Amino acid sequence: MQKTNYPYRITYALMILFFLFGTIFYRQSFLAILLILLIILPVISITLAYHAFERFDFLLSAPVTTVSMPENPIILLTVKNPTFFPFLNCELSFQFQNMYFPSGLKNTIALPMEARKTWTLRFPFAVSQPGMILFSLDDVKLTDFLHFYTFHKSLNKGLQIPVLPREIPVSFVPAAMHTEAEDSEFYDPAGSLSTDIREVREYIPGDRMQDMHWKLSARMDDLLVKQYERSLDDSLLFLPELYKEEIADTLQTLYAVSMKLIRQKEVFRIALFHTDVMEFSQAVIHDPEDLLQAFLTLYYQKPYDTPDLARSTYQSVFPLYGAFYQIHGNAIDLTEAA
Amino acid sequence: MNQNLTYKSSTEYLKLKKRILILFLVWLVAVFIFICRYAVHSFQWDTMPLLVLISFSGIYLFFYYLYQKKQSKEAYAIACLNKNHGISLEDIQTDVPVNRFFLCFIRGILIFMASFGTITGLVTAFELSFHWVGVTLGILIVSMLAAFLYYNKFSFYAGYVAIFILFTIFAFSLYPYINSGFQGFINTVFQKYSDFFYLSSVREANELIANRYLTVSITMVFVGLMMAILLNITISAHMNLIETFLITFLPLQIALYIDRLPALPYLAMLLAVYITVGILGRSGHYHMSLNMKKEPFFSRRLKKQTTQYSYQSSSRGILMLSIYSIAFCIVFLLLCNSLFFHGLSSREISNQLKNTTDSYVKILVQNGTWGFFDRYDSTGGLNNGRLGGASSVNPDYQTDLEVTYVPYSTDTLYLKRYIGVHYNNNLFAPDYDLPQSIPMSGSLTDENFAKMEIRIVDPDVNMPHYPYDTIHASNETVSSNLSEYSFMDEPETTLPFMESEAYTEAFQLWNDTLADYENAPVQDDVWTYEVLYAPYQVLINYPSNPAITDEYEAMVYENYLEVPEYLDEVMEDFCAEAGLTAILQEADNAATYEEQQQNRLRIAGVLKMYFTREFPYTMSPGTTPRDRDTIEYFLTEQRRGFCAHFASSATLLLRHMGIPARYVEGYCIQIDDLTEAEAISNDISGWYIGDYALNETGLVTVNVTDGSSHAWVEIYLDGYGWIPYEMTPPAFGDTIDEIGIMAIFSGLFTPVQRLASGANNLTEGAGNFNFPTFSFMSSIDFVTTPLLILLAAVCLIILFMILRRPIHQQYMLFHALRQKDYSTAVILSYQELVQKLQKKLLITDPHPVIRDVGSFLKQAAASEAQSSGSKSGTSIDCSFIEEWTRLTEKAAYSPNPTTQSQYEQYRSFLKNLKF
Repeated sequence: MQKTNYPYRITYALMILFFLFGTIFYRQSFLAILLILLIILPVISITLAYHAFERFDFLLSAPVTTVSMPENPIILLTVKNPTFFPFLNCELSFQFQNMYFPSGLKNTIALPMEARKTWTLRFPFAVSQPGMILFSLDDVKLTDFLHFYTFHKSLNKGLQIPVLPREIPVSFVPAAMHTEAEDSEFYDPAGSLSTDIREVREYIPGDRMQDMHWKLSARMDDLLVKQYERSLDDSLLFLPELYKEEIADTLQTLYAVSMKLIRQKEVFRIALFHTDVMEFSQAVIHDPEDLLQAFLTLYYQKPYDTPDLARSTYQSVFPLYGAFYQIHGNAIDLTEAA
Repeated sequence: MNQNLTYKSSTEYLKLKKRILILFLVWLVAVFIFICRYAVHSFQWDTMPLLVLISFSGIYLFFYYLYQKKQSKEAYAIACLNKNHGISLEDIQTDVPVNRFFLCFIRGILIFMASFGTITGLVTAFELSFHWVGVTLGILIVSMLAAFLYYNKFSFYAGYVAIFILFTIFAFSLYPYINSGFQGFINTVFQKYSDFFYLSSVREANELIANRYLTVSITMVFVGLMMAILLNITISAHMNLIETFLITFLPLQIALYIDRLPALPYLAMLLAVYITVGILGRSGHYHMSLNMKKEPFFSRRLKKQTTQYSYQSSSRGILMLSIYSIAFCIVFLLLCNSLFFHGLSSREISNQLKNTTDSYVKILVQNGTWGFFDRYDSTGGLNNGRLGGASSVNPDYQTDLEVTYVPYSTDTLYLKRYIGVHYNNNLFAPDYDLPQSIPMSGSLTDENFAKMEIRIVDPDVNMPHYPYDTIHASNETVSSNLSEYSFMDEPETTLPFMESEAYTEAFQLWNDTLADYENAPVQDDVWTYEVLYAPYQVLINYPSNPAITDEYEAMVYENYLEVPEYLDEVMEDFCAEAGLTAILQEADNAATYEEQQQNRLRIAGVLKMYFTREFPYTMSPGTTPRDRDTIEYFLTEQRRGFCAHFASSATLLLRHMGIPARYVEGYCIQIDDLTEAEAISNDISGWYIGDYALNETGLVTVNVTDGSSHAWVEIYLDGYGWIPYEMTPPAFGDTIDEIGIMAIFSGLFTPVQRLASGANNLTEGAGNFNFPTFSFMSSIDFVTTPLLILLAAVCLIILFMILRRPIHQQYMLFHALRQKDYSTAVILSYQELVQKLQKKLLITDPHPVIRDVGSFLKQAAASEAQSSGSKSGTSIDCSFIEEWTRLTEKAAYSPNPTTQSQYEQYRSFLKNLKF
């Protein structure tokens, strides 16, 4: 029962009284007709609304499940009224938010449920920050034709769409690569690669010459490259800071660096700081899919108000681990072990 | 995230600023032009419209700015909220576009139905014929024109101008037809009202063109145009039920008020429009912005931290609802017509509210709106001899006088205050130069004396009132104002009684009272005085009054036979019409003095009978036209009225026939009024001396209201004096009208029946008989029958909804057993059990598997056995539930059919379950 129904009920009761008054005192047939009509209509109105309300159907879908900025997510809501009666007093409550910037703002949409019709609403969003976009359809209300009664039902339907940051040009060069790349057997910025060969594959322009498997290439009459099993402990490790004030830039920088490294076929790690339990996990990134999973994990973490919290926590938890790159805002700082 | 942008630097504000600045500059130019003109030509009245226009446009601009600023701020706030949270929702889109043409068309249909239903319904109710096709097409076209004004911004502004031009051309070119059609309609309406109310006269308007078929048709289209424009605002713009109802229902009242019901199709149209507009108005999906290009599918507004999106308009929804409404209304009206409303008539009901409305309607029909403007205030329709200026008697029922006295007979006690002597120009004026004394009349037994205390409560009553045969009054000791109007003359009136012992006793009593008054403080707001009078009884054989001198009688014949010359012809005609002339000739042959006096009373009696027979009493006769004489108008055309009309006319008629008479106003206390009187004491000593006609009596105080105000005639009997004579006939149906909160219900509780011109027992001032029969139910019997049918239908529906499932199940079970399909019978029994358990909330799963139900039954049986076993020590036996489960699963899943014995076994299991 809604408060908003009371004015309508009172108005209706006054109308009935008015017509009853007129009918008794003036005994007019038309007034009597209107009076009886007024008495009948609420029963019909509420019964039909109840009949239809149980049959309404709502479906959420998204044409694109993952979005990279500057693309914008779109959510489709399909509503269906299989009954023969149109209801123009249907109201849906929904929320949408970036989980990093929870708004708590409520939205309602009043839409007509046309008879025996399925129609689709398109919710185009404009996102300015990366993060997990959460769209939830909370509940539905249907008020009968005369606003006598409002039926209410929780829907609790939701949809999440991760929005990856915009890929910006980044000039990140790992420190070790910068100093030792020309001389070393293979690039080893933060440790060493393993000597175990994981696989041998065809040459792709950009592969290092020292990785060429010359013997096999000669035999197979094709250029083949050795893909080494990298020791994960020695791979690049990035630690993004989810500091609230810089989180958008941090994610953007991490994404840009990650994409660059992926294109360079580097395997690297991202230390994921679980802010709720103050623990770390590592995501090994081989390709964009790994990166997406890492970002999904990041998107579920709660940003914090203390700068460098992840770094200090990491250093205190793993004091003997090697160097890592702390990403905070647009900066990438090589941080040595404590 | 910080909000770097302020509202004043936002694009929303800049846009608004630019728009307002342009408008403001335009306005400034207009002001400048006006000032220049003023400077050159000085102020002239012809520039007044321009000044008004500029002023209003300035005010409009100001409010437009405020409104736009509010809108702009709201839009900015939504944008900020979304930007701050990294995500914003753009305009929601849908695959169902708003079809503006279709929307306008549906609205046009609604407007057509409302205007056509009203106009045609009204005209057909009065049985006027018209060109059906032409009127239908005409109203349809103007309705569509009006509806399509909202198609876009251009059509809105240009269309209104076009419609105004069309309207003007239409009105001017067809003015004679429109006017004649309107007058023809009015004449028909007045005629029907006259027939309904049995009115004596009907106003008739002049029809320039006699072809009513043509003129009415043209007028209908013209009125349809006006109505379509109005309804376009209430429907297309506001979708407001109350406005639509008022525009369409009020004109229809002209027919409905006198039980003229429009034909069903028109009523169905109107009802369908009411339902559709009511539903759409409450849905919020009727809106159609004029700004077609920028119109989003959904409007957006921020309210209490909630962004509300609303779909603008649903053309398909509106169409479906309209169709359903029409279909529903047709079915409903057909049902109503065939079931409920035979014999429904407002004639059969009478109550204060209806009677009052009737009286005003009659005034309107007979006298036009001027009838509402009475020319003077009146108490109970009376105003010191003024006549014809009050259209109806509307007493306030507040106490005017409090009269304390000893009732002595069942006769009406008259308290007179005003004597009209000379009649001229609708006024029975008093003549204070004449002796106002009252030579005693009636049965002046020298043994009867009574005292009466009169307390004037209502300050508007500014004259003293006296009973007949007053001997003394103490008013001079109370207020000097009263003496001015006093017609007491003690020496003359007391002469016959001076020798009486009873009088001496009474006079002693009187002197004591006077002494009390002299010592009492004088009250300014309430006049109280005492009267010593001789209780009056009319007897034919009476002694002559020695107080009447020859001089007095000469004065009477000189003054109280006066009739204005301009009324002689009217009087003559009326006397002939009423048969009084012949009686008068017979009376002239009377030989004796007694016969002459008795003939006077006989003539008065015949006159009263004629009035009773031919002149219906009414409290709302309407005012006399300004250029007419009231008595002439009453006797010739109006021929209906209240006491003042009868008394004044009778006075002049009697005078015309040579009988001295005068017009008297005052109050009358009837025997019925005593039922509501306050009993003071059974001891009447000091208040009454002598005999009385009643078996028992006592001292009472009667509250006299202006409902008891009255006018009557005094007839002079030679040698005896003036006697009051009641000329007002009994009223039939017309009651004293008052619209009070409770008074309006009065008619519902009394068996007042409305007859042709009324037939009631209630006579103003001459008999008010109340029947205590409770007739409320009979007043609403026409509503109770359909309501009871409706209630029964609702009960049946509810009963059906409750029993639908069990009945269906039982039928299915019966069917299965008949077909010997025992597997289905088992399943149906199982479903019945599950529903029972779900109903008792013992199982919450809506679709439980058979095993789960079996487990539940086992648990229930175990707990049952445990509770009983603790007492009796028996072990738990759940084997039958295992068997029950097996049988159910077999019936549900096994290809082998269940046998009859298995089904019976299954049923016996079910009987063992106790829930």
